[in-house]
Amino acid sequence: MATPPLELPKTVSSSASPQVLSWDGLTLPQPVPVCLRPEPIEVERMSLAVSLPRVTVRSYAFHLPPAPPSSRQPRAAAASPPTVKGDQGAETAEPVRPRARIKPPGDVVKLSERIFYLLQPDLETILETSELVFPHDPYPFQYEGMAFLAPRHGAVLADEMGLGKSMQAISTIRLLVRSGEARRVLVVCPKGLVSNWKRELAEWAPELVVAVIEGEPARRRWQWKLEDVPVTLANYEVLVRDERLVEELKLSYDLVVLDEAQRIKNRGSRTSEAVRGLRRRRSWALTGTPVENSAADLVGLFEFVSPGMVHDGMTPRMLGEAVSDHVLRRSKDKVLKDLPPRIDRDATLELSPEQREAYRLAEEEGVFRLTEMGPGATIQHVFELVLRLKQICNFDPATQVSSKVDRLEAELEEVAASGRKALVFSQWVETLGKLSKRLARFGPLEYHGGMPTSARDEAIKRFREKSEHSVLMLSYGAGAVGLNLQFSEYVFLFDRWWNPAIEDQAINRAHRIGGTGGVTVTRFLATGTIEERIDRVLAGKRDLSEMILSTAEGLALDSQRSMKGFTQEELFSLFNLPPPARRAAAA
Amino acid sequence: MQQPEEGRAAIGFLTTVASASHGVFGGYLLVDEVGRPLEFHCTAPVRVSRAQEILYGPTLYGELHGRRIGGSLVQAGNVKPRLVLVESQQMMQLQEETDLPVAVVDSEQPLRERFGDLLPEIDLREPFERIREAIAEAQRHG
Repeated sequence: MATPPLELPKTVSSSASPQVLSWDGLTLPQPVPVCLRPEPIEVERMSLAVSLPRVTVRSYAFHLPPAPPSSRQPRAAAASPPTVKGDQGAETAEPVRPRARIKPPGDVVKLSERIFYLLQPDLETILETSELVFPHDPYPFQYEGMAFLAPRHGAVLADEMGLGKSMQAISTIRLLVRSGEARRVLVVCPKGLVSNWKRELAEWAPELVVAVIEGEPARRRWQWKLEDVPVTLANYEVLVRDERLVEELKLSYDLVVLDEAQRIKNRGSRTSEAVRGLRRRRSWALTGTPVENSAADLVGLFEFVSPGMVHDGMTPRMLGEAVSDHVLRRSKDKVLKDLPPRIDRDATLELSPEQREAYRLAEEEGVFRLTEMGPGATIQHVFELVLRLKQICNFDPATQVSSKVDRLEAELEEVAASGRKALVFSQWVETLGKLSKRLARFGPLEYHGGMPTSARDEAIKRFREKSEHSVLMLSYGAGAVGLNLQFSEYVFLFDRWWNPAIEDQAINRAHRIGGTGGVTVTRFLATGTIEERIDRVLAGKRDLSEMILSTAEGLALDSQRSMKGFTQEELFSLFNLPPPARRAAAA
Repeated sequence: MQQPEEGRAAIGFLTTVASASHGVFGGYLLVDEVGRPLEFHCTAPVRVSRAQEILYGPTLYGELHGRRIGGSLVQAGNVKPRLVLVESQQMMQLQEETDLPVAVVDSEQPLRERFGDLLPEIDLREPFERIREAIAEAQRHG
């Protein structure tokens, strides 16, 4: 076997690895010449960047009005947990909840603007520091609604009826006016809701001056032209009528709010054209039913809210994605944790001009007669007058015009469109009949003592089972007890009973343990009338069991029992008359 | 650095946010006495090398977050705050870069006892959340 020649390195540096030489044992090792030629050691130097990198700073500045000194409220007090009173009246503490924050809408693209929104404190702090006080503490979901509306130029607040859409809009308008973001706001609503908006604006934004567009053309022209009025209120019919005038006057608004905005779903309608023609920076739509029949409804709505954003060819999914950042919808079951099981609303409305005139004549004549009767005037006489006036509050006797029906129609539109059911109570069977005619499109059914039992049972069965019947109209006498109608989520008290306990019994047809959701109760009340005066007297009483108790239907009043509820003095005071005893003494 | 407008007492909130992909962002929010924003300053992300990490060792956080980033941000402020609040003790190295009083928001009660009227009646932790949200937004926008 040949020995492979050995190759040795010519040089071995001090840094080289030790060489290992090997051979087999057959051949003698040969002397290996090793030549060591030391070379200088090279050290490679490396510098590390020890200094830290430079820092680049971006800055944003904000211009705010000075905070009022009185707004320096301790946070702890502001964040104290609210309590809610349940059915049994037991108070339970709620856990501290996160406060609503205004988030930048999706269509705000400028980074500085998005950051501006993100750096704002929570909404409640903003409101507190703006010295905006509310008559009642809003529910958390209502603060969220305000935080949704405030930054949006195009928005649809689609909360279910009864959750306070108008209150949320008004409070946000207030915030925008206070911050200088809005100087002129136009609110458009159905005719039947004008007085409600006036009342809500007065309650939730008392500092805002409101101009209501109504009356003769010359008067309306003057009203439209009013400057330095932050809020203008008009109904749809007036807006359509004054469309050219608004154009001629070149009116322009920082914000236009449409209530019951489903009215503009039909793009070809004059109403839709009139509202779309308004010059405006922001467009908000309030509706409990943004989609009534088809996706086209939503497209119609968005022609006002954000023109061009959606179109007819879009699939429901595409449509939903496109509008998602602009629509806020909460149903009662979603916010049930925030809500009491029963929401009570007073629908305060003004009589129509026809009703007002009839009312004035009847009251003047009635009071004159009572005065003339002197000490001979009895409680019975007073009651007759009260009933006469209450009937006029329902309908004008000559024309059958009714502000209450206008309002009820507007409310029922939403109830029916959302597939819900409503109960309407009245003191008079005759009133139920009139309502049936006016509300025919909602498939009304009647339930009262004038009907045989079989017909009443059939009415309940159909109301329960048939979706085309959205409303059941009941008399207090027949409908206030013994019925289980808890699938109805809305109760309207078209006129008021003498005793809140009877009203409660009526309401409890819908609001019962085991009901699926909360019940919204709306009490109609004509302002400046006997209804308001009676309401004040009743509200002042705490001992309800001592009040008039008459579950009998119609006009069959038991004057003796009535006296238990209203003292003689109270009854006569409804007309600013002294009671007979005092009058006799005076005589 | 300007004095705040009359009647407006500013307070500074300074924090940093580390992102694995981008580096460290700093944010400095000046608010008025009721928590409304007056100014906001944030940094572009700052990256340190592995070598810097090794060589600075445990001192890196205070040096980078407190002095370098915090110092740059506080210098950028136009309004002079009464106090600058930070979230950690290491950020207190900011004190080497500014004459402003600096304090850590660890426990609110002792802080209120110490600074009394200097502190606004707001939740002292909440503004840091706003800074983080704003930084996240800036990050999303590149």
